[in-house]
Amino acid sequence: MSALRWTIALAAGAALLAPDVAGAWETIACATDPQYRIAYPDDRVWPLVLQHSLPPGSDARRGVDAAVASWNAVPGALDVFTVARDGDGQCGAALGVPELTVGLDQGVCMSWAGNAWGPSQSGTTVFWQEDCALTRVVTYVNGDWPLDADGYVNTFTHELGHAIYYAHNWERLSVMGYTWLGVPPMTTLAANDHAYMRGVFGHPHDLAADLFVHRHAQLDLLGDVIVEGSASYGLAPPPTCSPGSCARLAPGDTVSLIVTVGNAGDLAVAQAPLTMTLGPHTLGAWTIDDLTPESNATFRFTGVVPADYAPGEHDLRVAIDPDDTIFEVEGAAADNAVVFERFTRCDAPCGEDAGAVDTATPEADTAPEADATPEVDAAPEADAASGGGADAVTADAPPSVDLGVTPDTSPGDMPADQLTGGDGVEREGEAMGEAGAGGGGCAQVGGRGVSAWLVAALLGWLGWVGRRR
Amino acid sequence: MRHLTLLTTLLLTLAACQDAPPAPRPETQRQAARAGALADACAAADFVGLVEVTHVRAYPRRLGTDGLEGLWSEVTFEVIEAVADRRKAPGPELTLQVIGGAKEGRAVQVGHAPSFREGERAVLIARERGDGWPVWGGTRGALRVEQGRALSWSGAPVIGLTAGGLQLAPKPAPSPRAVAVAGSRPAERLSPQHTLEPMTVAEALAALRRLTSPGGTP
Repeated sequence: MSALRWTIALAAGAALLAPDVAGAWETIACATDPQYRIAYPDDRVWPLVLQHSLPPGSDARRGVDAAVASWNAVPGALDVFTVARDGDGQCGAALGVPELTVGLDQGVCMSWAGNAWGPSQSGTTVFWQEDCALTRVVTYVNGDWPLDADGYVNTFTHELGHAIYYAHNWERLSVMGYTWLGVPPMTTLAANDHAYMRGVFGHPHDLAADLFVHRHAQLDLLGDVIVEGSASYGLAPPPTCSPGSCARLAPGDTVSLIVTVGNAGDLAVAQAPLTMTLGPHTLGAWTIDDLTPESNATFRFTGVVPADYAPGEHDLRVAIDPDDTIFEVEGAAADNAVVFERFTRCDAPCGEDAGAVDTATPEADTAPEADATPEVDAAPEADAASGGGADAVTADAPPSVDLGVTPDTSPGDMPADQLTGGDGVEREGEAMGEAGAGGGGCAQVGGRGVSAWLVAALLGWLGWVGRRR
Repeated sequence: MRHLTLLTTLLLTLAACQDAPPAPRPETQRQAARAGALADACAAADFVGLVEVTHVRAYPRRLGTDGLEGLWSEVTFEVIEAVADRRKAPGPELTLQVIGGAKEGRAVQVGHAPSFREGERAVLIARERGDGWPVWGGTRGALRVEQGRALSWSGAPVIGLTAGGLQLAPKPAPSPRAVAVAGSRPAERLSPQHTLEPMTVAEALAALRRLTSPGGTP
């Protein structure tokens, strides 16, 4: 029976997958007979029982909820996970009881590898099986592992992937790979993960595309190496600008960045438009050819700042199908755009050579900053930082308003890590910190402009005092 | 006086800006997380070398301090070539206690833990310890051996063993291409720059030997 299920699953997978990505994922082999995969009886994934170590409202619980939502959101695949019970105090169900126990554990339920022997594990899934049929399954995340909110999402998504037979995937971009500690992990499913779900848990549906752009890429595409069991993917570096700094762009400058684009859906897209915009300015436009189902590729795109560029506070956005011309379903993949929020910032004076500032009236120049009304401009960033920015920044349209003033230029308010809004648009707040004037601190705020302005103001003041005397 | 205050404020602001420490960058954290991982493991290992599994015995034992009943495995290896052997009682055999096991059609399979089969060969980086995780990094410290080549535990070709760990070479796959329109610059499709040829076992052992020697980093 197991062999039949396995054969059917493989056949279904092969039928659904494009030839170039077939075999890009593997199931977990049965421990006693590796030519078969493990399986729940009748291939029906058991409902989750959440341990009391996952109280509602905790980061860990939100991680489980997000993981469940992701795996259930794959179009063309079954909603594999349901929650049967909450607040359970047991390490697991009795053998044969169809419940999948999920929890956060610090050594009571699970024997974790000690930290003294290389990095410990962030999570594990344990299968009890008899003739390859599962008789008990538990998934624990290591309560001693330093996970942040995104880390919980990633780890529970990864472990629940194992719980539905999905093996590690080091060779292709997948949530079943790892990234290095300290690198923001994937919190959405990759194209390969969609392929897995349709291959193993697929059901009849209308074919559709699901395009995406994100910054994660296999390490060997980022000039690094894949280290099995440690890291297979990473986060592409922030954009770079040439010949000058991203903090002071001028017409003709180039902006270069690396993103992964793809199609997590199961309908091919012959051509998809992709644009790079800086506020209202278009820096580049491309057509992505041959977006086969469940595929992705990593590119370096280089845009050129146009002649009519007007300095100001702009988001840098890379978007695929920015005008919504292609019919798509909304799956569990990343969104259609990567946004580097406030990529160019505008402290007074904005867009002018700092040397041309009227140094006799520095107070007047600082007045707009002091008087800026943050109600309109600050809200998107605040919402995005808290993960609730579903409506703060529209996903598919570049900002229509040149913000002009900086609502709050405190460097401490620059988000340091990857921000993901509720609408799934990947937002980046680190552009100025790393691509700008050298990585953090006050230098982020206006880059060279602020220092030049301060020096100019000082010289102006000295001249004014000299004249008075 | 008002201007003196302004000047002081400006100078203090400028000084504060210049003194502000740079925020940690992800690259820095990444380097810190990986630096010397395999080299450290080799230095801490009781055994590094080529082995063959001669016997696997599963026995009942709980998981965690108060967890579920499970199966663990006592795995006996024949030492074929030791790169480093720092065991209390070195000998021609190596015995490890590994979490998870299989017995009479039943099995307990623990994610990220290796399960060994009699007759297979492996390159091991291991310690004799009783917590069920004797192999470095779960499966990281166990290389499969096939046709004289070193493969990772998942079967991917190992193209390098450096201080950071096992380097893999995934097979290339066709994927989309980008064409510039509207006067944009061409997009560069990124491709891995490495060979697909896996290391031989001899090369893998030599690399581990360099890692285990004092100050040695391949």
